[in-house]
Amino acid sequence: MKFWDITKISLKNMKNNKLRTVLVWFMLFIMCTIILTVLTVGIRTVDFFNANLNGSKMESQDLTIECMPNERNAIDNFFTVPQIKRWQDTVLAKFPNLNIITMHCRGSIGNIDSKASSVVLTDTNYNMLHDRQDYLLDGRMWTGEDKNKPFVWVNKSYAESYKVKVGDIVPLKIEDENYGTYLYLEIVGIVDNVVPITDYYLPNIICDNVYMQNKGAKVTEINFVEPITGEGLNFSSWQKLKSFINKYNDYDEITKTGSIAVVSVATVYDFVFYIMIVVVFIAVIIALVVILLSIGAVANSIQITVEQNASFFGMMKAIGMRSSCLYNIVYIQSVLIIFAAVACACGVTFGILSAMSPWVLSIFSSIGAVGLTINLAIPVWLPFVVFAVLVCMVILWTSKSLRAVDKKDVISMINEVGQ
Amino acid sequence: MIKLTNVNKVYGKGESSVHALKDVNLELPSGKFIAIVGKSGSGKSTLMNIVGALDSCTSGEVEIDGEVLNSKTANQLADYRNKKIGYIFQSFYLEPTFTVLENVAMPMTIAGVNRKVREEKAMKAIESLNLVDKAHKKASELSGGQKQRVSIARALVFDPDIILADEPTGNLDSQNGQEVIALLQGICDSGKTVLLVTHNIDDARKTDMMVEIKDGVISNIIYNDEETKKAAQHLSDYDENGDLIDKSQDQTQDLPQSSDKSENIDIKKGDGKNIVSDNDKTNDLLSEHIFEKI
Ligand SMILES: Nc1ncnc2c1ncn2[C@@H]1O[C@H](COP(=O)(O)OP(=O)(O)O)[C@@H](O)[C@H]1O
Ligand SMILES: [Mg+2]
Repeated sequence: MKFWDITKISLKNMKNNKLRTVLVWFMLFIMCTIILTVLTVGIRTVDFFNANLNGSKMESQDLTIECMPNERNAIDNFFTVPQIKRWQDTVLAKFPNLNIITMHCRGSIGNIDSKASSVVLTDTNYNMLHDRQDYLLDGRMWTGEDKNKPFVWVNKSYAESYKVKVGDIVPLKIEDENYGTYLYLEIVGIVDNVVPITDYYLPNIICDNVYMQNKGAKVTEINFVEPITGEGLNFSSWQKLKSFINKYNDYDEITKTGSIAVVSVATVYDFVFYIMIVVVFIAVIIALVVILLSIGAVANSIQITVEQNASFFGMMKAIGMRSSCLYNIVYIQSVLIIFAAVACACGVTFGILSAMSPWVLSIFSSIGAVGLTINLAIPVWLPFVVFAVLVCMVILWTSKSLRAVDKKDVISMINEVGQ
Repeated sequence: MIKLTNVNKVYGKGESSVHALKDVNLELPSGKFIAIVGKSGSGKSTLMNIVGALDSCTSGEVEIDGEVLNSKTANQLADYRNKKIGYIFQSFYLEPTFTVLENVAMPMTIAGVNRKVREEKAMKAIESLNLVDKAHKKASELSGGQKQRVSIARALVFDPDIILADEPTGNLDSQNGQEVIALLQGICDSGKTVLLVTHNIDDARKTDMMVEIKDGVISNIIYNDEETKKAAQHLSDYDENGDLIDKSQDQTQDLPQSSDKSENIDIKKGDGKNIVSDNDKTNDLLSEHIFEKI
């Protein structure tokens, strides 16, 4: 029997049993919607975890290697760069006076004017800075070795007002495409901001453009930069953080005593990992139960369909239909219903998740996780897998009851009551 | 040739079991119009179903044109039903939601014949049964007589060798019934073997040969036609042990009221041995078993 002819008979059977077909479809549709929603949330939670927390751990290690002083270690263990980046509101709520310099990464040193307050060195300007040893008050001037290093030169008045000295690590916020990245730069030199009569000003903050660009800063060709607000340059809270850390000597001790609740990368990681495991576990359990239920429902109703249509199948067998066709008619019926259910479930799940998305984001922002987003799109492969699993299971399940019907003599199939 | 050897059919198990066919030995010649008569519940349908491979026998052997059904696989049996047999049922068993054309073409659809060819053939069968104007109507829209003609067209579409009709007139009025019998007669004339289960003695008389079943046993075989008798006798010259059957007691008599057919009747026991019968006795037998319609 040709495939299309079998399909036609399947469609006819479905049409003849409209009510049951629609009921089965509806049941499957509801169940598929549950499966797709639950699994999408589970899978996306894992993705979210991997993207936001696995990553942050790595980034923090990366940074730790770059800047080594004791304080850095301690700070990194409290807040990693991506954490600060993403949860800056939380951080600032905990440490209200922790202000971090915003670095506008623009311009070149060559023709900077009096308004310039920070600058990134471009290749052609390095030597210019190097040559002006007469500006240097403390530390050293730029050398070729400093290329692509997390070093910063600040001017005297800043150093004084924020009580920093050569060798200190200062956090700098660069404007990047996301929410601003925090870098920790070591002060290697303090320069004079007294203007020599025939010369140009030096900017307040100078650092290496290769390093900044590597960290994602947008360095433009605009020479004149916006003045940095005084607020943004307030180092006092940095000092506070330092003293907070000093109070506990070092991070190792803090974790050892365990008496102080510390939001560390490790604790956040573990907490979210735990939540993730629970979410995924529940998702899988729900999905399994729903899949089993739906398969049972479909298989059962298909069995009823076969039994009720026994006389039709008997007639078909009496005029020469092979058993395999009977199976195929029923299988195609199941496949069509399952397909329709999964397709509709995809649409509705998409709607549900789209509606959920802003709600999830509002939860994130309410707990201070600004900038965190979770992608709640249905993974493309998921509906196909759900479809395939349902089809395989239904076929396995129905083939048993089909065999029982098929085993009967043709005449007893014909004489079966039902139609 | 249809040959049944020691065929038994038992429905069910234990105390409630029904022995529907008891050691049936029967040989039916090809190309003849054969009526199977008997009381309701005597096993006529069971016999037909076993010949048509709609049912299997509990024991014994069924041989159709040299092929033993018992040894065939399920798929071979399906193909046998598809191509070798045309079944006409009392209650038609058409698919009501399909058109007449689709119903008639169904055996070819099942065989995977492509649409153009099968519709052409089905159309021819429909034409031969004067149903052209109904070809694209749903089967459910037809009258009983039309439905039965459609089911005859379906039985014929694949040009099978054997047509099995189990009380095809049972659900029809007498006029439509007569039409159907005439059609079956025509089918037989075109060279096919036609087996007809009927209650109607007039219909039975129009056939070449009547087989009477009584409680699962072939009780009588009555030939309406000399040629058929010869053909059957030739077949039955040997019993199942290969021994020549003694025909010395053969007796042939005229059957009153029989139509333009041959005037011979011959009554034979189911075990293959002929018995003597006279005119009155024949009529008694026939009236006893056939005239009561249930
Ligand atoms: N599927 C079945 N199960 C049990 N008994 C059956 C079945 N089919 C037929 N019979 C019994 O077998 C006997 C012969 O039935 P059947 O061949 O249908 O008779 P007929 O067609 O001559 O009226 C009857 O006694 C009937 O009750
Ligand atoms: Mg019957």
